[in-house]
Amino acid sequence: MIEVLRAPAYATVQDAGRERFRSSGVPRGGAMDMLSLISGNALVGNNPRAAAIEWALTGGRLRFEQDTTFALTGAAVGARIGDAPAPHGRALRAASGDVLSIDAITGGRFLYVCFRGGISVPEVLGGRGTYLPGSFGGLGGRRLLTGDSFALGGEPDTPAVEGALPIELSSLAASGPIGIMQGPQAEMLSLKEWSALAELELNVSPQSDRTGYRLTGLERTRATAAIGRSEPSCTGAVQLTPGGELIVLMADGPTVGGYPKIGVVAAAHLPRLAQTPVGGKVKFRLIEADEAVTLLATQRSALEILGGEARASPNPSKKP
Amino acid sequence: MIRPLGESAFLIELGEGGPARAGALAAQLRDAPPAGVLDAVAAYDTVAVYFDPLACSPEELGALLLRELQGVSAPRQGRAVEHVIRVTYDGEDLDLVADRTGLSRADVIGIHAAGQYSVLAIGFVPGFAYLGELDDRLSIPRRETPRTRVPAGSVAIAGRQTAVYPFTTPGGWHIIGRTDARMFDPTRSRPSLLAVGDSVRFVPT
Repeated sequence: MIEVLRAPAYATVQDAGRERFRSSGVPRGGAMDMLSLISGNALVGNNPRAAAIEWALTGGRLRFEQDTTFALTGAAVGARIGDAPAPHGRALRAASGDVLSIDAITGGRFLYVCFRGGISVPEVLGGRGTYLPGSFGGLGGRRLLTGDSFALGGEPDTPAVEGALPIELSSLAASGPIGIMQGPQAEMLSLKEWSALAELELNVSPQSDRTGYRLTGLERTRATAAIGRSEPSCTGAVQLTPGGELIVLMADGPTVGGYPKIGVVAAAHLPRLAQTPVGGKVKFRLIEADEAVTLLATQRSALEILGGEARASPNPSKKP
Repeated sequence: MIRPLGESAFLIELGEGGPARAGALAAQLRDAPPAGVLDAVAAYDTVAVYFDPLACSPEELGALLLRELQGVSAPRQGRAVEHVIRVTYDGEDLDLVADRTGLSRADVIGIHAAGQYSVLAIGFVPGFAYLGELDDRLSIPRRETPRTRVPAGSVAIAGRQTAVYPFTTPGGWHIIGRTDARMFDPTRSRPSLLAVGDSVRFVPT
């Protein structure tokens, strides 16, 4: 068991999301920064889909009530087990009774606390992630609160990774523009506006949450028309509002929408957008779908190498 | 016509057959997904297909979807799933709707309950079904300022559409009644009561 001694302003249980229920209006959900969730799970030897804590904003404390292995990935943060520093991006051991103190987030937006075995909460619609607007999934469909406790799943077969997370699996280390592909209504921006978009630094507005990130700074030369009828949408879709703002749909974004979708953020780069804090800057670069698939494949093979190293190393958690 | 929606989804415009045919294609793709396909969603006459581009060739999947599209027809008239939703017509906007349309309260209720509606799309929030078409005599634009809180179960109208709010959410549609029907229940295998292409009637309690 893990006990929440002091909950941060925001923490929920999240996993790799729900893939089968968009037709009922259920968004994919799951981790905002999927790469950090999957990397953290790889570090502790978990299945990539295992549930972890998605943690934001302020600090807090957890107490381990069993010996376990855990890892911190995603947002930059200071953390300690007792008085000893708990470094980011590697598997760490904690003994029963240890207290993990996590400071306020200093870089990025979402921290993942991944425990070996994953967080054991009931599956709802094929996922363990919390969907706050519908009050289901995770721990009672709500945020984690001080005094909560939760169980961990059984010991996985794969050992934890000994080394640190490689830089290509860090959503915060990457720099350079974020790849977007042209969307179904790309023509809503003129060629001039598309080239302007490539030069602009957009601002992440305070109205940015798990549903969508609102980006300001694009100057429209003409009014935006609606597309008439709603269409199915997707995570990463870049919508153009009548006011000329861009809204990128994030993990809990609606499954259908009537705003024109001028683009779609490359799935491999969406974690970087998710980690851009309010007031942060975003730069886009127009890419083709082939390149977006290559970016995903590069991440996937880095994850496989990480998992392979773990399997090749002696397993510290099992006696010969 | 098939267009890409990012690297991990396609958007298919059916052109004909409406929501019933779109709903049938999406259901077929969910029930027997081609390799790499994760999910499929219908809305109006469009179907989105979500896939893992590392588990299939997007190009080959696009070609396969074009072939599947040829074989899908809308379920024959009378074969669509029909739902009956019992409504207590006492919504707080009933007088406003009567006033704007020049009808009596009884006429507003009678016209709404006489309609046979198709599920056109599901979205906004889980289980929120856009139903159409609403009789032209009841067509008024949505509220200029949305309410911050519309109770779950509210039956509402806007433009040529009607809907039931599955959750208590903000909303800009005119509330004409309420129902006890569970529009969305995450413990059901199909959590949304209604599916695109289904047919709906409202019956006054």
